[in-house]
Amino acid sequence: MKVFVERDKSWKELEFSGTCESLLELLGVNSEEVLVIKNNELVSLDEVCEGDDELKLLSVVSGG
Amino acid sequence: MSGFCKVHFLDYFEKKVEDTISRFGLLDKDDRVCVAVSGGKDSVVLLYLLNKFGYDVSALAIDEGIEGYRSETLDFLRVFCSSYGVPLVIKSFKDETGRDLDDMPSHGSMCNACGTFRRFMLNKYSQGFDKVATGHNLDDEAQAVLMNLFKAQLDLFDRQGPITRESDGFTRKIKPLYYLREKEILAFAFLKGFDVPFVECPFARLSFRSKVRDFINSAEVINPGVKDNIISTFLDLKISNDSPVVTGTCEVCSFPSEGNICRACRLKETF
Repeated sequence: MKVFVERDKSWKELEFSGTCESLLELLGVNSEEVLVIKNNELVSLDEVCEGDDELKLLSVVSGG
Repeated sequence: MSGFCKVHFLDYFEKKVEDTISRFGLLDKDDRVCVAVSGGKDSVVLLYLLNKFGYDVSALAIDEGIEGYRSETLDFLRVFCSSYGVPLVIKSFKDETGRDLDDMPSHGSMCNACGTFRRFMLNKYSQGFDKVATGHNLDDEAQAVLMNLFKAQLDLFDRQGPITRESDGFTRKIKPLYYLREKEILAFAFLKGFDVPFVECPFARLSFRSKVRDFINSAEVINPGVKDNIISTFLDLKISNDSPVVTGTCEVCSFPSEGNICRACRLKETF
C-alpha cells in the first residue's frame, strides 16, 4: 500500500490491512489533523484499506 | 464526514453557514463584504459560499513577504477569483511598512508582528465595506480561547465570537464558518474539487498556537466534543460578561488604538 502524507510531502510504502483509523494510529497521526483519501475518494475512519490501495492523508491544519 | 453521503454533506455544510449568518445577524442582504483571503481552504470556501449566496463580495489578500510561502496561494487566488468574477486586491507588508516579514526583527516570535500588521491592514483596506469576513473556524476559535486564557489576555476575548461589536474606525469582522471544524472545511473543498494548494508557513510549527492546536486535537480524540465545549462555554461567558474594550485613536496613523500609539506603529518604530 502507498500512503502520501501531505504535511511532510512524503510517500510511504507498507504492508497493511485494517481500518484507516488503525493505520493512522500505526503512523502516529492524529485523526483530527488529516482527511483520508482512498483511491481518490474521501473515506471515513472505519473504511478498510489493504493491498494496492493508494491513500492520501491531506493536512487539515491551515497553512499559517 | 459527519456521517453524511457527499450530497447531504454539502447541503449540511452550506446550511450550517447560512444558519450561523442568520443566528448572529452577520450580514444584511445589501452589505458590501470584504473577504479576507489567504488562498487556503478556509478563506476559499468562505469566498465561494458568500459569492454563491448572492452577497456583494470582494477579496483582499495580504502578502506578508515570506520567501517560498505566499506566491503559490496568491497564484491560486488570482485564478479562483477570476473564474468566479470576484475582484481581488493584494496588499503587501513591503509596501505598507517598507519591509517583508522575513526582514523584520522577531521580538521573540514572527507571529506577533505578522498578526499585528495583518489585522491593521485588513482593517485599513476594508474601510468603506460594511463587513470583513474571515475564514476562522471552530478549531481556530477554540485555540484562540485557550491561548488567551493561558496568556491571561482576557481583553482579547473582545475580538472573538462570530461577530465583533460596532466600533469607530473598525470594520466589523464576521466569521461565518464559526461552527465548522477545519476538517469539515477541507472535506467541502475536496468534494467541490477546489484544488487548494497546501503550503505551510515556515514559522507555523514554532508558534504557540501550534502547541495549543496539538493539545486540543489530542484532547478531542480522547474526549470527543472538547472543541464544541470550549466554544459554547466561551460564548456563554461572553454573553453574560460583555463589556467593550475602550479604544482611542493612534497619534501616528489615526486608526483605532488602545494606547496613544497603536501596536502596528510601535512595531514599525523598532525597524
